[in-house]
Amino acid sequence: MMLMLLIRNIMKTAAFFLLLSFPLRAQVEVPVLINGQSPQVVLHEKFKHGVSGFRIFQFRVKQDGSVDSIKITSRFMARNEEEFKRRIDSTDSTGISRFKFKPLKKDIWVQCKVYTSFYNNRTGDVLNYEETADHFRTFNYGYSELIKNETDTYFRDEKTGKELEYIVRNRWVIFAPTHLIGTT
Amino acid sequence: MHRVPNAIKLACFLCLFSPLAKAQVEVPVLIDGQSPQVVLQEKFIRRTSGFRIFRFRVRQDGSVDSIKITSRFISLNEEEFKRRADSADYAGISRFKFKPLKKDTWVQCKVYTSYFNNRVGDPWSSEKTTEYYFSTFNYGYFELIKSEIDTYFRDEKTGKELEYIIRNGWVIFAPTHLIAIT
Repeated sequence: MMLMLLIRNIMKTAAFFLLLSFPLRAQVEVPVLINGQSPQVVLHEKFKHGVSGFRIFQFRVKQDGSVDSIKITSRFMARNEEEFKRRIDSTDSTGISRFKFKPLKKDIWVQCKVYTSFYNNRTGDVLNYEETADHFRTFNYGYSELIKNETDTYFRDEKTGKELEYIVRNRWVIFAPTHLIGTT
Repeated sequence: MHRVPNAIKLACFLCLFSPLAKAQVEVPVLIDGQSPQVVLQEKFIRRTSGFRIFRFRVRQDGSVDSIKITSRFISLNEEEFKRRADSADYAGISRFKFKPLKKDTWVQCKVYTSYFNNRVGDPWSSEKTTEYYFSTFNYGYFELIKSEIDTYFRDEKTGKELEYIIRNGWVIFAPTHLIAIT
């Protein structure tokens, strides 16, 4: 009798925590800009800087759709990196602070990451990036491999194996990193 | 006879598909008790900046197969360097002997390496000082690793750094960073 009661209490506790935890995880909303775009896409396509490197953007989207607490971690493979970094980070921060998201039920933290590989194109062929990249391998910093690994490791649906656009981790919305490839 | 409420039955059902079930993935440990990540970081040293991602399967009997290495070395003669380093790493990993497991387990380890060109002639400089003086020689792995750990390897409740996570049935060890000067 005592054992049955004990088992029942343990199961009740388990049920309580499960019912508490499952809906909480599902409730994290994914912020979308007013025009329907994802911030990762905008940061990738519109925040371009002509040098190889990476930029990690972390910010909070507030309930009203505005942004605050912007933190940028960046690295640029440039000789005058400090000056370059100062200018780019400042431009990016200003751009992000102007983002306007659709209203949310509560504040949400977001992370986006963009890698950039700029190749020094000496072939004069502006159309064939892949081939150019192939010719100038020593100018690439291995971001293709890093992104592929990061995507395969953290952004694959367990059941379907499909690539995920984002994951929710510790209540942050983490967008899958993207790679901007260009030539100079 | 006690009747088990439906809510509890449901909870038990969900439990089977919850993270508790995922905890059943065994974490392979080498025969000497070390983690493969530690061994790859400390004993598989290559003297150039870059990164290496090791993926392999640990079989029930503790042997290793299906080794895949993705590497990048920031070196002028990278192709040759890479060929030699990958080959040596591959041979080393294939000799790993793990404690027996209940079933085959897939593992990923990742090691970043930052070698600084020390022109001050002071081999005892702190890492920070060396990094400071030779900041243009570092490829940003500090920032990448910190971000990767903070993003994927933090315990949700305690905020503590995790040694590994289980993702899609794989044991993913947190990346580490080998820092040295030449």
